[in-house]
Amino acid sequence: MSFDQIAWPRRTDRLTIRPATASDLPAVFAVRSLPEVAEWMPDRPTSYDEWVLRLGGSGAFDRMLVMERGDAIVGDLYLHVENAWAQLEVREAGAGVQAEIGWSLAPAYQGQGLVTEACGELLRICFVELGVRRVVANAFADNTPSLRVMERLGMTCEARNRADSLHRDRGWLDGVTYALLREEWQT
Amino acid sequence: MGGDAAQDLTAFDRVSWPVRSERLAIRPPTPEDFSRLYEIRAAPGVTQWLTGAPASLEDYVERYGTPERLATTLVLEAEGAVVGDLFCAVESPWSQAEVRDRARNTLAAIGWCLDPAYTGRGYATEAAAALLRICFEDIAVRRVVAGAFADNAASVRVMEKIGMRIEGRGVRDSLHRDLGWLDGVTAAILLEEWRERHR
Repeated sequence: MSFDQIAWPRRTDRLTIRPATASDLPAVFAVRSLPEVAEWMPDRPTSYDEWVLRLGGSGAFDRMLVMERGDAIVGDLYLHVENAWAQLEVREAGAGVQAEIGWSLAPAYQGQGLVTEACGELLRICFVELGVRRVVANAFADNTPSLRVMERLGMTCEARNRADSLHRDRGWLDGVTYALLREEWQT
Repeated sequence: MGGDAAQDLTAFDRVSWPVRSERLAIRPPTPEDFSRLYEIRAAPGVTQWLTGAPASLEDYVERYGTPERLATTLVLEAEGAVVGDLFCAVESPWSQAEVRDRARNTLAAIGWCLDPAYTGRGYATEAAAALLRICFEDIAVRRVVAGAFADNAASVRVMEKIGMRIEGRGVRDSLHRDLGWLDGVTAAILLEEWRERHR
């Protein structure tokens, strides 16, 4: 999957969404390196240079979108099209039909429904333009604000995995997976 | 949450083989096992719920004879014969980046395949229970998971019998070669839960 096949930027009521560029990264880093943001994120970057190198090396940069409110970058989105689990003989039919989404938002902008607004657009991109049939989102079960976003998006909690995810400070915590099928989204 | 896909290919080195349960012996495979293991897969109905349905012995060896697959496959013996195989992949579960080392190789994913000629005797349950013991006591993981199509009632029953909890049911998340998109279930058990059952 490539973001190239989509017409950018996308506008919602209050936000502009587009693929991240190198010049966005200082602003994204400023959000991601805040302890309260990093609490539930996959990493807590401390060095800008190392973070940028990791982003490029892991492919995460290619899956990163930014959310702009006016002129300010208020957070980033994650969008990764992946393969569904399939028996070997039908693996091709299961390729590229599922997407994982994720997000982070600057604390100053939290509590206004901005992530839900942005992800509503992300779901539309997935189901209408990328031909995805299922979208999933994962989180620590204790990350209440993110779970609320998933629920507002109409996603269903399909799994709560006991002590399956290791948190840097809190130890082994439950992880949840939420999902939404295209036909559920359409109705 | 998704784990680190890289598997620990040396996990079986930490086990002294064969491992015996009341009626079964479990050991790593050798190339001499391939034809018998393929014969089991080729029996009617066996591959219905399995990941792959090899079309020939050559196909089987090509898929399952690789070092990576051999390092996650075990042979099941009963009544003096090879009666099935087990899957056991030691992996790194999802963790935040700063503590990845602490999470490394602490998760095992298991599965089983039994010759239909030997079903109905509790061998799958006995084998899966023995495999749990291997995972927790010898390989020393802290969590074991198993996945199945939700319609695979026999396997789900085995999971529950050995003390695994159904943690997730993915709605039409798994593609079956004949039946299309079906629900998948995942089951899990933690070391402390397993210990509690075996006090």
